[in-house]
Amino acid sequence: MEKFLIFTVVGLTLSATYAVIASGLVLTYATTGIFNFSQGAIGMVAAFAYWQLRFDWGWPTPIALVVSLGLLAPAIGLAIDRGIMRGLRGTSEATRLVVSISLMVALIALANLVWEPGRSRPMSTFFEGSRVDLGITTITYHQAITIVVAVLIAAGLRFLLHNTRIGVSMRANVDDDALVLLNGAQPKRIAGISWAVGGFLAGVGGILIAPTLSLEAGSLSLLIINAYAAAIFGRLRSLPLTFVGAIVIGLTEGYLAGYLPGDNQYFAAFRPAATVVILFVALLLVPNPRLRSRAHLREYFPPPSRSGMVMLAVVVVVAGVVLATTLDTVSLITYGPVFSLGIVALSLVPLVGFAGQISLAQLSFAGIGALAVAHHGHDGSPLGLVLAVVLAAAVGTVVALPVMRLTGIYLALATAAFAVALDRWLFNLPDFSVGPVHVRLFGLGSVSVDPLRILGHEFDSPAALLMLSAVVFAAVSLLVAALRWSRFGRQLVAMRDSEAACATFGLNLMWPRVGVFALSAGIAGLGGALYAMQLGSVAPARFDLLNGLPIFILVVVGGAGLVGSALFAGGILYGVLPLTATLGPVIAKINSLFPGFTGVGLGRNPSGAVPVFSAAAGPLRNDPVVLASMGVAMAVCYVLRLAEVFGNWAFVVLLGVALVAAMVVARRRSSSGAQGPGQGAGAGPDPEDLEWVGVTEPFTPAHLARMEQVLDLQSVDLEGAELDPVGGRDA
Amino acid sequence: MSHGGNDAASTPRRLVELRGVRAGYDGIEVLHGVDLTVCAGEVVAILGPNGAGKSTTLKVLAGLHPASAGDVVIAGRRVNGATADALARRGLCLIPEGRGIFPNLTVRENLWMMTHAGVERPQVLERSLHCFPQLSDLLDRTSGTLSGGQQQMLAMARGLATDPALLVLDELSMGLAPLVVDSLYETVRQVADGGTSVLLVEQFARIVMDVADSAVLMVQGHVVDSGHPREIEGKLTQAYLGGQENP
Repeated sequence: MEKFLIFTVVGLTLSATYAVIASGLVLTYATTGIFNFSQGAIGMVAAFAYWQLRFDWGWPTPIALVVSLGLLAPAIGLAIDRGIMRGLRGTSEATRLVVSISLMVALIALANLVWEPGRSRPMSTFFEGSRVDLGITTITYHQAITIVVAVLIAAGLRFLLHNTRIGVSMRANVDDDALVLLNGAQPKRIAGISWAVGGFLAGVGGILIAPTLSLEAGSLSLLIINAYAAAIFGRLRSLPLTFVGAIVIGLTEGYLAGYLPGDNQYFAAFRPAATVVILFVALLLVPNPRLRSRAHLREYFPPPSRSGMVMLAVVVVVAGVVLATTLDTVSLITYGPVFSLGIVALSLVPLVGFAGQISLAQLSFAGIGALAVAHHGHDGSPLGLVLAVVLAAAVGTVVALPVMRLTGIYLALATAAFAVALDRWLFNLPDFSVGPVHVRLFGLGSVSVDPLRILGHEFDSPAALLMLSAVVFAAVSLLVAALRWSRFGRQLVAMRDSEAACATFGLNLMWPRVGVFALSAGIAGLGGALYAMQLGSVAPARFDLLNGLPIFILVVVGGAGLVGSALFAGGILYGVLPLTATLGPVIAKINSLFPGFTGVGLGRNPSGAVPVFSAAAGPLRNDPVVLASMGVAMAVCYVLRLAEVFGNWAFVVLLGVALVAAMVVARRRSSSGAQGPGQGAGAGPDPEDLEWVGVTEPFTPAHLARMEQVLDLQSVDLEGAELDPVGGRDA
Repeated sequence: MSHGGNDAASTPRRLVELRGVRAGYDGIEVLHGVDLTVCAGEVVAILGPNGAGKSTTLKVLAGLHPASAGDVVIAGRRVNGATADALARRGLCLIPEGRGIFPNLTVRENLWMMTHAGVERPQVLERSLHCFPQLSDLLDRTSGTLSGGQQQMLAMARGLATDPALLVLDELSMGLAPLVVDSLYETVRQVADGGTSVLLVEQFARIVMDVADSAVLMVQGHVVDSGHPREIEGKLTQAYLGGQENP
């Protein structure tokens, strides 16, 4: 009985902490409509700050608490609102989610920069060693304080939101901020207060739980997963139900800690994963959301052009050959994932970009692909790669079926829960059998992977594997583009635009969702298998949630609906960042902030970075002379590099110079050509203004000439058609 | 802004003046120099077909949308660039198109939101429930669950409770049964009789003929005519069917 009481207290203390963090999450979601993935990370920063002030610098506890909780945590909340969240109006849920995930990644990177990881940072509990005797059992002061604080916060929030005008205004703000203005209130100020209170609650949770765990940025930030589970009980809106959820989760964890047999390998790892299992189950109980109708979004992703895709595929293969023939073995291993994990990035394009669904578990599917090729690709059997795709797609289908009716945040959380369940539990299990099926995992360590052998040719060197990855990347790019051009692709885009409209057209919404999720998981599995081959031996830590988030962020930053965004993500994460990191430790540290901070800036350009680059390269793409000259110059550089006239750095610089010079020349030629005498009507209205001719002003032959110039129609034979200056063209 | 009244019988005081106001969306101009005047205590209706720029005119006046040119003058002060909340606290009350309520708040909480305009809570309750006694049984109901007519009453309650100098109504009749519309416009008449100036936009022009003192007709972003509602009525058919010439 005493054991039961002890673990009940342990559970209730955990419940109290989760309740505090989750209530901050619910508060910001219910009052600003933004689901703050970085809630745990704010708590983590507050906990580090408290440790710094109280334990490292020896400040008195009250002052350390006032600074870290009363000033820092609300200030972070306010800064997030002012600097980031206000720019997210009119963006999709995926974009908003990416920004808050990026913020979490950025805060973790920032904390690791300030407080070097790996160092021991002991943090004692409040009134360490003192206990309160309750008669039937005793509890520590820290536990008592935690529970009392949670109860006070519950009561305080209830009072704030329902019994104060500012609280009612916070709730009104999420309904209609323009109407809040018309009532004479200030929505921006109200949102700022919500974020400040949310930051404060995150800080309270972080400081209460940090002494009972190790002070580590990643794991403290991921406590948010436990808080999400509690918030899901309250459907992200009800604070009382969120507290009920926190009690269920905290007690479950407490009792598992007390009663789960610790010597059993299968159960030992289950305890940390129990919450995500509860989260997954809670998500299954979420009622069917209403079908989304058309929302006016700032994101726009045009379908890929055939010529653009062919060019992309050629560039990827050529880049693969160049990298494979110029890099030494160490560099080949460093930059190898550009294409293999680039394929994992590619798997997000149909899912996030075309279908508007969110998955945070793509690297977990890659892990399943890695396992498949490790266990079934003996002696380089191609069967391993095939099974990597099939098994990852199959697991994707199993995950998708129960949660695919959910969208947006719920789907993101379900996939995050799946990823964490794999990280914390399933990937760490010994091999087991389910009936006749024997499941082999990482064998409590790592598994070795044989290189691929096709028709007697073995891809047994890093160079060969990099070229193989590049070719597969190019092929999968074309496959993804073909998907976008297909009927299925159009269906996915239509669903993203308006589920309600699709339903009224008689489309089944369920199977396209499951189908694209399975396809996406399969592609990720293929990428994971190639990555595993490059590594030769893989451990589960390579495929955990936190490692996968930068890929997700960079794909969305690149422009999730664009095939080029996968190359952008792979190139930046596994090419540019490791390359610049070699310039010195300071740059390496700055690089660690890159994914998070670029994601945070997404609100300013939700259609992504790739269209910006693409527009800059537009004149070059359309100028065959300059393009060919650039190709020749680069080829010459390549030959000279092979002849070892210069090294890799010089080669990179020369390629960069050739590219920039070609872009500049092409741009000049383009602008001078457009205004030249041989180009028809010469300067005229901008193409965008031309679209309004006929609406805003009468149509004239000069407009027609300008339009032909813009559309490059001079060379088109009009077969003797008569041109009517006002009525257009009659055959 | 000072509250209007019937004290300006000889020379009506100009409460609102729009002078050559231009505005647009994403670089496309939809108001091409709108001139409009509302005198103290007057009920003015803006009529016109879809796309005439009526709602945009109201948004510009209320500070929800910026004017790219021209002057917005309220009570003799140029207020271009003033925020909507500042104007609301100074006596401008816009009831927007659709239902101008917070659907996830209770009726009581919706009424509480009206106190941001500077009126005490008991007064808001008393005035609202006096005009719309039906709401008194619904105070603790989530307002999104009310009927369309009840929701519009709740929205209109702000026009009564905050005692504005200028009440601006955008398509009050939208989606409501004729009897409910009649009842709401009866309330508008009472508000106007109390001295509040009213500017209203109504697509179904004949509804407002008995309420408005004067009317302006807008077509394609221009004010093409103004005068007594009955005078304007004769030109409506031509405007609505697209034959109206631009000035």
